[in-house]
Amino acid sequence: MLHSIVEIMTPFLLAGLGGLFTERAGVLNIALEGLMLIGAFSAAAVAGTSGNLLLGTVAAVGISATAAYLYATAALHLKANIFIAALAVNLLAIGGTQIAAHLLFGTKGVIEFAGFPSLPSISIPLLSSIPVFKDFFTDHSPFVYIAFLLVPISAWLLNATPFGMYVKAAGLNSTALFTRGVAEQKIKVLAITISGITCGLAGASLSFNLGAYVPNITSGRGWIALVAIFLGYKRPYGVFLVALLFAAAELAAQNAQGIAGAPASLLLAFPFFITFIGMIIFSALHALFLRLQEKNRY
Amino acid sequence: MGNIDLVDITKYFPENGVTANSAVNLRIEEGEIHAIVGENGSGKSTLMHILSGLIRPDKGSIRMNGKALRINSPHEALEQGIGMVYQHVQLVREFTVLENIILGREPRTWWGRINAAQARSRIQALIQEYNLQIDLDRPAYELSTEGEQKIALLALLYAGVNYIILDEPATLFEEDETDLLHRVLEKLRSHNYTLILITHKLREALHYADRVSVMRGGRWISTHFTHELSQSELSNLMVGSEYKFDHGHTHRHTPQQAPENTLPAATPTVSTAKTAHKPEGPGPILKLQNLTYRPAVNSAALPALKEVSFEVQPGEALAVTGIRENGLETLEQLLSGFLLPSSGDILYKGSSIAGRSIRELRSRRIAYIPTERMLRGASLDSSVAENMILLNYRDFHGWGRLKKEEIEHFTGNLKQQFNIKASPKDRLSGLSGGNIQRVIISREIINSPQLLIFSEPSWGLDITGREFVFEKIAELTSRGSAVVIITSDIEEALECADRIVVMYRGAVNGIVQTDLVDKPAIGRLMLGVDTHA
Amino acid sequence: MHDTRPASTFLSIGVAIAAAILVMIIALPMLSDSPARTLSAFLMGPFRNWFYMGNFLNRVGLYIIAGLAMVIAFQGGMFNLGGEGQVYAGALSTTIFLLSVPKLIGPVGVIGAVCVAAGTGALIAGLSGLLKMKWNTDELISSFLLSSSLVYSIDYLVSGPLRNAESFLLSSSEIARQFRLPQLLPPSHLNLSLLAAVLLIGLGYKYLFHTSSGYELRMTGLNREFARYGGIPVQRYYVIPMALSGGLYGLAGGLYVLGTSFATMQGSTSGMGWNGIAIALIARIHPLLLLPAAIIFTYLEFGAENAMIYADFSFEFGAVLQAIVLFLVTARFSGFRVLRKKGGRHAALDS
Repeated sequence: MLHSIVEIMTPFLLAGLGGLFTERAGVLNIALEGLMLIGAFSAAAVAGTSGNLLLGTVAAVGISATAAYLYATAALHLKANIFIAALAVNLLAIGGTQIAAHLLFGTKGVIEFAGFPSLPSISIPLLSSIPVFKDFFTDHSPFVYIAFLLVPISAWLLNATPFGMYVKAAGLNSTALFTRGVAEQKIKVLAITISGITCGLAGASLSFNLGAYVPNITSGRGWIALVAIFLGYKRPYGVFLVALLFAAAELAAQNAQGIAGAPASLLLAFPFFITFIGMIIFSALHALFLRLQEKNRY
Repeated sequence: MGNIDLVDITKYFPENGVTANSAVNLRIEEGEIHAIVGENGSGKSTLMHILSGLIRPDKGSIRMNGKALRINSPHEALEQGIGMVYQHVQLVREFTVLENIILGREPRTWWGRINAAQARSRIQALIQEYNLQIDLDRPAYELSTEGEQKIALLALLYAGVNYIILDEPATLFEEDETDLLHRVLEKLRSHNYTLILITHKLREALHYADRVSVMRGGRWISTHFTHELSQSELSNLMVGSEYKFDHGHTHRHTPQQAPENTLPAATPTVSTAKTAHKPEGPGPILKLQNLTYRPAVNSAALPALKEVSFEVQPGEALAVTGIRENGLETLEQLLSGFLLPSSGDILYKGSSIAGRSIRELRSRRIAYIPTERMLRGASLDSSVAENMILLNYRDFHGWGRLKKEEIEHFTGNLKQQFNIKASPKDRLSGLSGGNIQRVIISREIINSPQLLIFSEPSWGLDITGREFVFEKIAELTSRGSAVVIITSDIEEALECADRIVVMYRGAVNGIVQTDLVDKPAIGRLMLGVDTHA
Repeated sequence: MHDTRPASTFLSIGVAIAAAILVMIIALPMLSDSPARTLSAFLMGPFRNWFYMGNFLNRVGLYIIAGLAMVIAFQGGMFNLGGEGQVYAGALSTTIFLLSVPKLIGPVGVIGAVCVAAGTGALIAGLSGLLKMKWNTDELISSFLLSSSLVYSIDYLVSGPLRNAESFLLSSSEIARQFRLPQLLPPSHLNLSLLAAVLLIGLGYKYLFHTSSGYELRMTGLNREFARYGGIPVQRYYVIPMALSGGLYGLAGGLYVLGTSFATMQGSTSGMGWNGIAIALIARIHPLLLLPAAIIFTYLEFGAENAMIYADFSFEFGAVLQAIVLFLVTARFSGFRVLRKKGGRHAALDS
């Protein structure tokens, strides 16, 4: 069971880690969903036609990152409202992938490819033999390991490098950063572009797992990843834990469907609902924490 | 390295219609200490913000040894070796002192990690050299303004600039016997730094600088060697010939007896207020009892306040003064209801108002003019009328509907009474700073408040604006209202208050009668040298 | 009281609209085999005949209400991203209410239905506002999450438990005849809800600019600190703009059922929430500009759909259109101040 949870958590984790950078840079990135969808479509289209997964992944990352870069630039340099621009990305992703699907493959439904390459399944030699870690490191797609690897890398980038310092300073006091000669706009654009890269990976992992492209394949995962950032206290390892938790909840829901026969359409509502509840609980606890802190003055 | 020429610098701010610099020409010579003096709003800070890349001029150029420089951002200024310590230092409060110093100039190891050890040893050397003691591992939010300025200066030294601009550097070191600032400046000079001091304090300019430039009304007036100039000559240049020198007089270090002697216009009313109204009051309008504020552990946004007690009688103007970060800000937030005290009480006309909603305080005729005029005191994106009716809109409605004619009558009345040069329909951000102040003051005063909390009254105002404000304060007290003036400016406190409460490290360090003290005495109280209980 | 925005910003909107039309004129023919017919279908959209005109105007009415929902949220400084779910829930609650009281006399049923629809939307959006007030939960995310879970849940209800077995559509049963709004231009869908929309513009304007609550809402939206300083009870203005916004969205859904669809069909109101945002932005967050804004937007959308008929395929063009308009309208959209940092950099450093 833990094995499936790890598979399910991967797209959340990837998108969440990228979104973490924008969040720390002071930008609430509501475009994760759209960027992930763009990635998923590009990955399926390129890998499906070329038969090469790597090419598909590169395309997903490239196109998704480009979209992120363009939207960030439009928002920050043309002084467009960042939420509206991000909303436009989400809407354009829905409509745009549909048009592209029609133009390229003549359908707007599910796109299946003959001989879609299947994802290799990898085990990590030493780690997979440790009982506790077994499910984390046995028979997973490369994306799982990429996501795992990105957790410490993100932590390192944020906490130990100048870039991470700029990202945090951009979010905490961008004027201070500006007076020190660092263009905070560039840092923010870069952070959003990073989220485009990881969302591209997340989308690719979704499409490759299915071996096809399904409209609305992301079904809110970008939003859930966004909430996971908050719930994970804006820290890479926190995002990891929350992604794990959400994945477990989703698996539970899927199993419930199998057992109790809950209808499929209701299942689509479940992730949103559980995330909503999670968010409420988190903010209530956080508010309580702040109140206690206020009381415990020195 | 070389001489810097500012050529024909012109800057206009469309948002408040002010031409901050018009065709300013100025030469900064290599290795000198150059003071730029001028009153508030004379354009000296704007000029230096342009040199440091913070803002771009509309016209003009910056040259080094005759060659034009491209300075469009602080980044490009720093590249040219030009850096500025801003009056309000911008820090990342959550970072440590060390991180704040190296921000933008981090040394890194070959694999990209920040090399903190290397940074630390370099900074320690600078701290030793310039005697700027500071704990590098403290979070920046724990620092006082003095510490923040130290960080800013260390950051510039660390970044390796050659030209250092200091905006009002002496606000902290004023009347400090040890004169740390002087030693730092001398040290910097001996290391061949070129220094530019922005100040409105003439003594400071003449004392520290080699040359001094005077600015007035956005224009460059003249540049002199400091040894060729007396203080009174300089102040004449600074204020301009159209004013007689009584005001500049108060600025000087000549000890004052009674401030009334030097005060124009408002003086008679102030003194009548003092004699006429004090004994009549049924009791104090405002009474603080051991008012205490302890900041939360991780959010020391405001300094602590310790057991502050004082009273304000009807008809009295009481000033609370002190150096920044000694509790004035906190007191303002507590009195205005924006902050809850940790313990102690605030009594207004005998009943406790601590913890009451701002709405209730307002409805009980407590007026408040905040330090943050433009952020808290005004809504710049709303119309003048919408700003004017903030406290009175409930008077104009029937069944929830606002009555247009009554509003027009009200706003027209304010406009006339307070000589506001704008139509009520204008967007507030389009008005000049002085007019915006008038809108705020008119709104707060029109309801004849019983208590006015007035923070930094003459802040950002020219001489006429100051007089207008002092007149209004005197008018209020003469009608029996109490006024609490929270100010970091001793002269202002002496000019418009009957008594002065001096704060030091969050506690009251003395309450004095204005007519019985002089400025140096208050200065000593502010610095904690003396204590009067 | 008075609109203090400079005229130049209206110019930028005009440029954005022109650019949007241009994009459509270029893009549509490329997607079709007969460019000329597609283009004329796009441009002639609503003017083809009275039937089209009626449907066009009907949609304008509904979009005005959705736009007004966002105008009020934005004016109050709140971002209601849950319009989709609120409209859908308004439609469903209207349907359920009227199906449960089939014998009620017409007008009473309609008034009741309108209240139920608006109340449902207000409750849903108001919850997000309340969470913001109580625990500082981001209303933008919470409203979206709640709305999405509602959309899928209602999809399920309409295609499952509440589905009308006799219909081949994924739809609930139809409401009784006496509840249906009078049709103004049969056989088109144009009905009384257009007049309701125009009336609501006036009410919305009066509320925002001529009542004390509207004043409080706007001052809080523009500068919360200032409003608090003036003694305005700012806490409740997390909830009020959200509840009003959700109420209007719900009302749009309810009126859609009462006058146009007579039942809740799966996906039938989809897009209305997003369109509300686009239209509010075109209208520069001002109620009196909603009519032209809704006309322009609906014209674009209607024309694009119309053009699809002549292309050899069809799909939801709405999302693309919304995206284009949002991108173009908000670039340099300087009057928009939700969550914008107050005060320039210069002001932050200077005393």
